[in-house]
Amino acid sequence: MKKLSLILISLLVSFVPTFGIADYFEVTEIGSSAQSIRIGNIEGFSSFSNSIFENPAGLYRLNKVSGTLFTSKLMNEVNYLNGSIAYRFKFGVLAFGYFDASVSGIPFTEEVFYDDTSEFEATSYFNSTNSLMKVALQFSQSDTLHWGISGSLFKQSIYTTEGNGMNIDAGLIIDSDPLMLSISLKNVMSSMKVEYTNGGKENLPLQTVGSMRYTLGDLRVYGQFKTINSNRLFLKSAGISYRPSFLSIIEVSGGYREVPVLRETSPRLNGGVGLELTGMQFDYAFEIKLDNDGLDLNEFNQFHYFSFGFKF
Amino acid sequence: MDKNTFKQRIQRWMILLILVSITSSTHALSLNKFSLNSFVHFGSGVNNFFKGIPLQSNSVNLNNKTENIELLRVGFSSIGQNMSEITRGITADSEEDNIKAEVLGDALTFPNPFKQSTGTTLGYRLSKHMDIEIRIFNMLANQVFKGSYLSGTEGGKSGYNKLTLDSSSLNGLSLSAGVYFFIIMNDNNVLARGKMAVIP
Repeated sequence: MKKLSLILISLLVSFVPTFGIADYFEVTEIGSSAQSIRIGNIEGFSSFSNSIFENPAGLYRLNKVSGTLFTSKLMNEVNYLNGSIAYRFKFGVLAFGYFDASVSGIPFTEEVFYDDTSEFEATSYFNSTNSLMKVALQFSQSDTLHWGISGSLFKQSIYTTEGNGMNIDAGLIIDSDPLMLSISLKNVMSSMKVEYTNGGKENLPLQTVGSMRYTLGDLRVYGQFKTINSNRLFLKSAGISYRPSFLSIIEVSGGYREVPVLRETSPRLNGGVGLELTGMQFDYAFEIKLDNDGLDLNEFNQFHYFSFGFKF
Repeated sequence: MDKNTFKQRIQRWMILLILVSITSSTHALSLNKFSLNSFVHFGSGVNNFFKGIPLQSNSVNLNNKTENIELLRVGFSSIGQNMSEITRGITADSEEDNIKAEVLGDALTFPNPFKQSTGTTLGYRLSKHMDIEIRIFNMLANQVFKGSYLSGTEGGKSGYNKLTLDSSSLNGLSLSAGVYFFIIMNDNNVLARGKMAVIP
């Protein structure tokens, strides 16, 4: 354990984001499941294999095997999709995850000249994909303290330009009913970059996430602080869920979260419902922008998320 | 001056006054619909008209009617000119009003994909002069840019418009590589939308 701590500390010391270059866009910013989004995108409290995208220590909640699927479409243009699977071995839980955001039909353009002017024309169309692959390992030190570590492989393709990068996440969970704490560090090796075939580079800045859950009868209250990107933007989230004891297959919830927009944050309101049936969970979440800057278009202000998970 | 001559002169001045008020008012109307400026134009119209017409006409006065006819001709000619201007203005306005506010063809950026450091140009053709608002969103539907362009200026003029988008458009902030979505709006209506890709 001391060795692991030393490794983590030495990796943290390597936190050297390069200023002047942009931060890489991580698909996980949208949220990894409808279940977490409907409580304000609070991370670390999933009971399924999608914990790999939040805090790998959360994989301790698996019995034997688990799998998840998540999908959403934003602005009728961006398709978000993720899937994960996890299996419990004697030494702990091993999990794999894949997450991507794709856009199709992007015009490749040329300038066409006329007598004294010019206009633009689309000569072909291309697709763009931003993907993330993860592998995680979880082990428990005791019934209360759980650790997890995961490796991330980032890949982005835009027309003929491709970018690749890798990094490591680490997390711990302290499960002390009724209070549960989750702490995770993402992109621990912050000096690493996503490098593109055209010579360009992007930062993979360290993210720190601290979240808590407090159970109060049928209610669960959540809170989270998160720092993100090279400017150390501070994001707050809060949520509440209610699972009636007389109908424990249903859970309704609401939440508030802030998302990063360049150097500022934008508030969003969340809500949704979950249905749990014999080890299978179906979740729906919606999200409303609270700061729409006078734009009255639903597709840019309201979003819907669906996820499915199972565990045995 | 006999009684008839005096009567004719009174009639002449009355006709003049009526003509001048009509011409100067219609001139004001053609310039600025109707406003307080009409009265200013009325005043200047009277002044100018009287400057140009000699009080004592030397033209042949057959049956004492020639001068009056000449004055009427000048007056109606002036009214005709002003009415023509008004008609042209109204026709142009109504023609402009009848044109639907729209983006003709595709709104595209060139080059696409592009590096933010070198920037890109957004090009689109407007059916008429109109106020335009452009918004750009990232892949999380977060707005990263908003710009307004007045009717008749580059970005809001009839015909093909070109707008440069680069680092300075975002106050020097760097965009992550990825796909961005723009919408072109007029009066809260989306006229066009498109996609552009940023590479590092």
